[in-house]
Amino acid sequence: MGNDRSIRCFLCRCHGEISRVIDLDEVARALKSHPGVRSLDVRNSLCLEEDMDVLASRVEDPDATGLVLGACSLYARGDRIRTALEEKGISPDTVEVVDIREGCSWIHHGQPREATTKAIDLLRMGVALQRHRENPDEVMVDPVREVFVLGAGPAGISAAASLVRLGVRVHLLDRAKSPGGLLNLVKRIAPEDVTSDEYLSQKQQTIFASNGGVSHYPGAKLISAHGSAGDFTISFSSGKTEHAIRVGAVIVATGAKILMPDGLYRHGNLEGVLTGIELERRFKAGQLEGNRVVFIQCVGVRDRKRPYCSAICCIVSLKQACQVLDVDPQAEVFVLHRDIMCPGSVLEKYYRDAMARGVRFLRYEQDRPPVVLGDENVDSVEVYDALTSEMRRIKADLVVLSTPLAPHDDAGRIAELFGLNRDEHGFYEVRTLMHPLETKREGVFVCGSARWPVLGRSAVLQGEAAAMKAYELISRGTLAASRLSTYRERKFSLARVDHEACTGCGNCVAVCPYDACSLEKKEGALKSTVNLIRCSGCGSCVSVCPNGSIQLPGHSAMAIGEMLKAVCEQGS
Amino acid sequence: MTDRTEDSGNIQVVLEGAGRKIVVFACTWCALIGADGAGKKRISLPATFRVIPVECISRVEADAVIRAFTSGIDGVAVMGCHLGGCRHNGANLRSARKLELLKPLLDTVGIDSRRLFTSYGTAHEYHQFAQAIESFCSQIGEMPPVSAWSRSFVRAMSARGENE
Amino acid sequence: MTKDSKVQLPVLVAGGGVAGISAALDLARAGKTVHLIERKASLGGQVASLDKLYPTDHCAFCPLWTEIRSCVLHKNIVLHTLTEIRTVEEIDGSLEVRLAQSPRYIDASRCILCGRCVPKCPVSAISSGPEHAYPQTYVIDPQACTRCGDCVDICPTAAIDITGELSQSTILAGEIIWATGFQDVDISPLEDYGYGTHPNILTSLEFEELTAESGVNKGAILTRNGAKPKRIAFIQCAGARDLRLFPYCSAVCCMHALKQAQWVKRRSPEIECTIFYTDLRAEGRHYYTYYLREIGSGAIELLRSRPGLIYTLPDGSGIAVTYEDTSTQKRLIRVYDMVVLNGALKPSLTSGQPDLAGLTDEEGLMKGSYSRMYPCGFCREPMDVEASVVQASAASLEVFLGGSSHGK
Repeated sequence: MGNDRSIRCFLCRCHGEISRVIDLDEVARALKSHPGVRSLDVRNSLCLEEDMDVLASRVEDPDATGLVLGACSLYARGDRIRTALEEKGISPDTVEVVDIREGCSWIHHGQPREATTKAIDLLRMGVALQRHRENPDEVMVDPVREVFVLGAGPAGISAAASLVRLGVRVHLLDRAKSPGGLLNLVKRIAPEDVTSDEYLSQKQQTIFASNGGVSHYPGAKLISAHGSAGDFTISFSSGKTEHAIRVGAVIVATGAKILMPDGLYRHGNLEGVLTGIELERRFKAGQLEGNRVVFIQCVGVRDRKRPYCSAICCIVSLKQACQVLDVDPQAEVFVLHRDIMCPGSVLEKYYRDAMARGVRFLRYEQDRPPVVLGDENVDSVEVYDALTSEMRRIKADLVVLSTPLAPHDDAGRIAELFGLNRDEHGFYEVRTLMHPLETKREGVFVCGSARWPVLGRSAVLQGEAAAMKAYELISRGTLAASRLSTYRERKFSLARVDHEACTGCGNCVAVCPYDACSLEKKEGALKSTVNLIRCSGCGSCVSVCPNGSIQLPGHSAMAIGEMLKAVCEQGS
Repeated sequence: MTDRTEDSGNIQVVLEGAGRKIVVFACTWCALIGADGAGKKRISLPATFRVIPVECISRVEADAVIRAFTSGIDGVAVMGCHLGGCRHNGANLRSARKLELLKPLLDTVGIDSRRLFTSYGTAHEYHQFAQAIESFCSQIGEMPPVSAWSRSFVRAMSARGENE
Repeated sequence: MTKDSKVQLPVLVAGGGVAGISAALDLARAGKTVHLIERKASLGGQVASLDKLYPTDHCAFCPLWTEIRSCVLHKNIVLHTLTEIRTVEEIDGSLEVRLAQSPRYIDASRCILCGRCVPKCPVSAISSGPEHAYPQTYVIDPQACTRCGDCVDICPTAAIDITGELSQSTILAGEIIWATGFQDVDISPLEDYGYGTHPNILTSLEFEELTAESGVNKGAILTRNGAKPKRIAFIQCAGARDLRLFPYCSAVCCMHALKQAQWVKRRSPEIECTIFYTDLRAEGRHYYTYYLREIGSGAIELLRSRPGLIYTLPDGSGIAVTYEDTSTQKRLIRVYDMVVLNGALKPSLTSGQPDLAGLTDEEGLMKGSYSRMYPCGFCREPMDVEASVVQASAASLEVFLGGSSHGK
């Protein structure tokens, strides 16, 4: 218990910003006699170098002393006081900056008496918190300098190639027999206009010339995944053998599947109605017949059933339209669309170029989709032109249905194995906008079309970015669990279970947003156990524990109780 | 945008209900930043509230709220991130639901559930923080203190009440 | 293979917006020393000027501010604010970068935010600085300041020094990540948009500032003259996808307009909003869901048309927007109280360096790869926050890879 920790208080006048409103003499009197307070000083500006030295010099034994500073808010100067003290060897955990400026003197400038009372309360609360603070448990983690990459499409290959060049050993697992993912199905890649072999060849060479730097397991099947950032254990089967590997980080690059039109626009019933991939097959085989081609966009997507935009289909159709023109410059090519999604400079230019080459665009409305006409073969497409409000009939030899990407059927299973969340469409969820590849599980990154449909160029970029994030995690050597994160320098506090008191009810397991709590057998009974690497110190578990056996040592129920008491001590 | 910040407008002294005490659990990622902003703007606020910073409002257990009332506090505000904008994978959502469940419970023991105030998302909107605090403080100021009966009742109810 | 030739030189990151901040943090966390150069007084870039972000609808400030705080407190990151890059020269396989730092006048490490200098200043040259700056300090406008010294005398911590002058320095860097972002463009040369002829014909960033929750009106939707508008028009692709100005699509404006229109509706449902668009590009992650949520209700009118002419009505009663109703091919006129022009964003490059000019393509965007220089974010290609952050990480990776043999 930390009750015997002696507290040294410092009050900051802030050159009058605090002392002008708050009667610091009265505050000092009230605090000096407060239990646990060993000394109290009033200074002019605790945040400036001159006072900082005094402050540090009063702390003889940093482990046994708590500092309570009555100063400004953490976000004003408090942060820097704590950082500066840390440089002088005083752990930020032992420094409580109590905000009596932004949170008191500045907002109660018309009420000096009340502000003084409040300042006393706030400082007593700070003292209570420091007195009842306990040092959190810590584990040291030495991340395994190997990375698991799941999926050998453009995202996975670029991640693997990048990591191996950084000297990191990579395990590249893929369900397919040969690497390349969806790119293998197409003849040329947009907007770069190269063949799929050319597109990834350099990266593939890097991988396969890496002298064992990359272990590639084609046609493999994932069995299980355990562990947390820095040390995951993954087992899978490849051929007849089962493998179990240890890695420091995981990159999920499983991609997406191409949706089949499911009878839409008479696909399957009418000769000449193709999907984009079926058209690619014809390109690859060099057998394209007919020179009147109509592309229909948003097939089976941006509708009630799949209310999302798959982002890549417009560019794919533009590419295919141009390829038709490559084969026959006299071809008549129409793209029936609902919006052409070509954001940015490169894609917009791609769109302009297609227009310049003679591809014609026609906008249709969602509730008046085109109708494909013909008896055995496609004859024409009837469409309501949303821009001119006219019905048009376009003669066609081929109708190409541009279908979206959708999550793989086993996306749910992989999500479960790696603790990923999925969005309403089934794609993997990531953290905030500023952390677009990180998932709720530290050390697991998602890139490529598994998180959202992307073109090859974005998949490659995301693969590289994911490689960077993985490298950040595993390249730093041994780290305390509280610092093992790619999105912040330090976690707040890590939860601790009193195993004697724990009844094994499992409430904490159910609520933990990081899957850090689990029930394990301890001396014959199930007890909650906290994975300190996963724990982020939010305190969700604390609030659902029926008997207080799980606590944040830095912010225990007892500390909060004492703070509440401190509020009520005066004037009641 | 050059403002001189001395928000000289509403300097008002809240005298009625001055003895009441209000505790505000503020999430460090959002509400606390709003509080900081209100301070920087020197917005004049009633002096009856005390802020307890928490990493996430999901840390605030029903018991902490109940203990606040048993300890002699008259109003509890829990202020976190925008629902859906939590730094801890949506932990605040669960917490929000839990606190809603607590409200009818408070009513049944004679603690007006309006004494438990929840608000989500004020980081960048310091004036919203100020408004929320101001209206909550004045609301509590208009109410009588929590009755001794209710306080003792919830004390008995609280599992961890006074047994340290 | 990492090429750790000779000494480990620091990496220079040019630009402190979302891309620059992310790159700096990535590099610093992986062990590099980083010099982060920002032209303005504080980090944050354009996103700091946004009120809300799509598709989350949460404050732009909070996710960004957290990263800024990490950046400022990170021991591997050296921050240079108010600093411009003057020249870059490749010498012996490293880059010699000349920097010019404008004086801050107020020492951030000593300013306690007391604000006593503000009323002392006879010419109102001191302000509290941007709301979201971290660390926050007061700021002196060097143009307005008369160097009278009154503020120096009143400052309790001796934080003010008005004798400061532009200081030059040189940094030897191993690599540079360019993340200089974008800026708003004056589109008054395109006269048909009427920009500059009426105070309520605004660019979208001006509109954002005017209606921001933390702005002058605390989130209330008011015109420049403080009146409540009845109708607002959002004009998409104004100056973008337009061969007269920017041929490219600025990538962020469709969602940005949707977001603004929906916040207008949320705060003042009685205001009518129309978005004039070319293609509604809601292709990003969760963008279409956002689009459906806001458009599905029918509260915001979407008009697929590119307005021809925007002008102020002679009696001053409003702003006329002429457009073609494509279904009838008729030219129509609608009158609005506010017109928000969306689209003309240009890559912001470090100004006035002739020797850097070769780095851009014909559209003014930075080209893909140079030796030891890696552009990312909007200055390379128009893109949203998420894509910028991804590209920043990829650029950081290239620093570790030693660049060269990398693809596109």
